[in-house]
Amino acid sequence: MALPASLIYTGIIVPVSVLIPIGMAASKRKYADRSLEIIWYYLLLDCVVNVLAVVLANHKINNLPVLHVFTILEFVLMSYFYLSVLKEEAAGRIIKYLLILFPVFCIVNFLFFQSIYQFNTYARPVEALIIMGCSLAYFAQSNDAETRWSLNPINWINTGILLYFSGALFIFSFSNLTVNELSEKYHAINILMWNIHATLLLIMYLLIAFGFSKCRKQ
Amino acid sequence: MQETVGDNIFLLIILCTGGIFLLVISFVILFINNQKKLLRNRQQIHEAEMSYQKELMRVVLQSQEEERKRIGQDLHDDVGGSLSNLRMLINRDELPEEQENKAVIANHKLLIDKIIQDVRNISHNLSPPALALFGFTVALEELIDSINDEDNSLITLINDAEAITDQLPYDMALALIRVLQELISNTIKHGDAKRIEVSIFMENGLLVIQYRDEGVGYDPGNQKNRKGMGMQNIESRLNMINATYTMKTAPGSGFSMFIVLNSSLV
Repeated sequence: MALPASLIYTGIIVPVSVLIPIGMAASKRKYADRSLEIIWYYLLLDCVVNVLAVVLANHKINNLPVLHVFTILEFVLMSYFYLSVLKEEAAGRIIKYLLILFPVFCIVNFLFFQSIYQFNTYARPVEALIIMGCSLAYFAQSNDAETRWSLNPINWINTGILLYFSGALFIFSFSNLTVNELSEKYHAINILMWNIHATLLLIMYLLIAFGFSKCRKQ
Repeated sequence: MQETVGDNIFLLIILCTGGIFLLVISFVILFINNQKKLLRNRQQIHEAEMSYQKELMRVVLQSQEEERKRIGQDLHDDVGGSLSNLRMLINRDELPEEQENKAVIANHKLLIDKIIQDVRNISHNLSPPALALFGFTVALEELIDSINDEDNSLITLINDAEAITDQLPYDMALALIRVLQELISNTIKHGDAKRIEVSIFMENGLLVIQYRDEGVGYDPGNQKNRKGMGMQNIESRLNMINATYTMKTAPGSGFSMFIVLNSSLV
């Protein structure tokens, strides 16, 4: 059975596109410092989760439990990334608290509030907001940097992260609403939302790849 | 009703996500532009500092050369001249009929005294000994005495802050003496002044040195007059001791300079 065009885009092209930053990161890994290494692990996690989600979907198994676990792992990796790049002591302290509080919140959420077979529409937007905060904190920190903005790989990666999480905030929040409605129109809205999400994800991957391409020998 | 709302939802989703996307993109672009501007400013300041340092270095080297030239000239003209004079006289004195002539000996003594005086003047100029021995006030008085004509009418010194000036650290005192020396020599060379007034006093806890001459003055806006060697020398010495200064001059109305030192540094 032929796949519809949008499913090819969201289900194949974009998940596979994670290989672009992975390939770029692999070629520059010898220059990578700790923060870039965390991004490398994040990309690998994305890759594994994408494969897992596609395999489960192909076997007609609900893959949303993967999303619940992925949200926690993604948050942990992103937090470690910002812990390694943010120099402000207060920011570091806040992130360390959140590293404990947020996973607890996620677990409480899927145990008592939202089924693991649904989208975690409380946890993921909260995660996006926290990461947006971290990203903006990094922007504030790099304001008085001594080098040109474009030469620092972290700047590109941080921009990608900010774009993805802020753009997808609405999508994370309303994903259950559109999926639960079975009418054709809501189905179309659902497809549009996930197409936008896939595009944002693709942009983030490309910016991360571009960031890695800026890696030079120190 | 629900149908019309539903029709717009596609557009709303695109507007919302697109709007946030645009917001983030414009934020990033503004941020990059701002950072570029900051970097450029910082670079400009750095370059200005570098060129100022270079200029300062050039002035220091040039004034060193000037000083050497002057010492060489003084040695050659005064000491050298007097010595060859003496040598010639001694040659002539070897004639037997003049051996007993006391006038000649007196003449020799006079010449030797002159040489001693010349050497003293040169070495005093190099490093005023009074400064280390007796402090700023005496050194300044000595400097003024050495320049003043017989009736002491050229330079008038009023020092109302002797207690403070005599406690100035050596480097600071030397710099001030040099600056005043340079100002006086500028006035004598270019100012054609009949009177110079130096007043030193305390005001609001600040040590103020006021230098004023009644010479011809000059147009400070004229490129030709701007920052000759002497003036740069004065500036760099004052900068070195963290003194602030203002100058006032105009053609026909003399020259004056106020030097202000924070006395807590003293």
